[in-house]
Amino acid sequence: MPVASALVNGPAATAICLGAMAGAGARWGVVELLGDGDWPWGLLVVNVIGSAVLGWLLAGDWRADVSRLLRPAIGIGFCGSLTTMSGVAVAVAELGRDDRWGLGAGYLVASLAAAAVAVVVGAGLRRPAAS
Amino acid sequence: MIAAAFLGLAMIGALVRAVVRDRGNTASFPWGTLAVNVVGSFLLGLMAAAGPDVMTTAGAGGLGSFTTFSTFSHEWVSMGQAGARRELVAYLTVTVVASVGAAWIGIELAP
Repeated sequence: MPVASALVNGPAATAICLGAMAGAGARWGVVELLGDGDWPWGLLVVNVIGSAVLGWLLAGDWRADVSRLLRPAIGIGFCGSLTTMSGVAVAVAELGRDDRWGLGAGYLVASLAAAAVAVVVGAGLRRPAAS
Repeated sequence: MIAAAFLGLAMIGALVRAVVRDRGNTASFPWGTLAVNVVGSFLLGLMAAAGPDVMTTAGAGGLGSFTTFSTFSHEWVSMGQAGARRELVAYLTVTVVASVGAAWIGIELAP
């Protein structure tokens, strides 16, 4: 409970809001640039980039971060809002309704695999510096 | 106006996600993240028939920020690294099936 109220009332909430605006704005820009068709490249790219940044962020010792607000700002705010599950779910469901389950399943698996690799690669970039 | 609504709803989406995850996630299973992604996917499906302004502001801005792929990915990769294979398989499967299923149902119910 105290953590939840601190999230809403404290400086952490401001950090989350600033990160969320930057993340959602960047996602909008990338989707505009790369398109949102049958294979939504824009969503795939933001999901991979956001996962890499989050992997990098959470691999470090938070006490070594420049500021305690870095985690809520970049992790919860920026990465959380840059990446999205709902857009992916709707894109896959629409492909399924079109009887194109193969393409939908391929997109889903590609998104899951690429984001997982991104988390590991991002963490790998942080660890040498943190130790 | 559209840009302001997009950014405002993106902030609200992120804050609500933070609170739901904070209250819902347990040490062994990220119930909060799962709930956020499934509910957000359902609501975005419901908006399938909405106009472009609603899709941009409430859809891409609000629900896009409310749901998350990076945290989800980090959580299941961490389960794998911790050797929690059953949790990993359950979390990955339930999130994917329930999110796509919820989006489908939302599209079906869309006015």
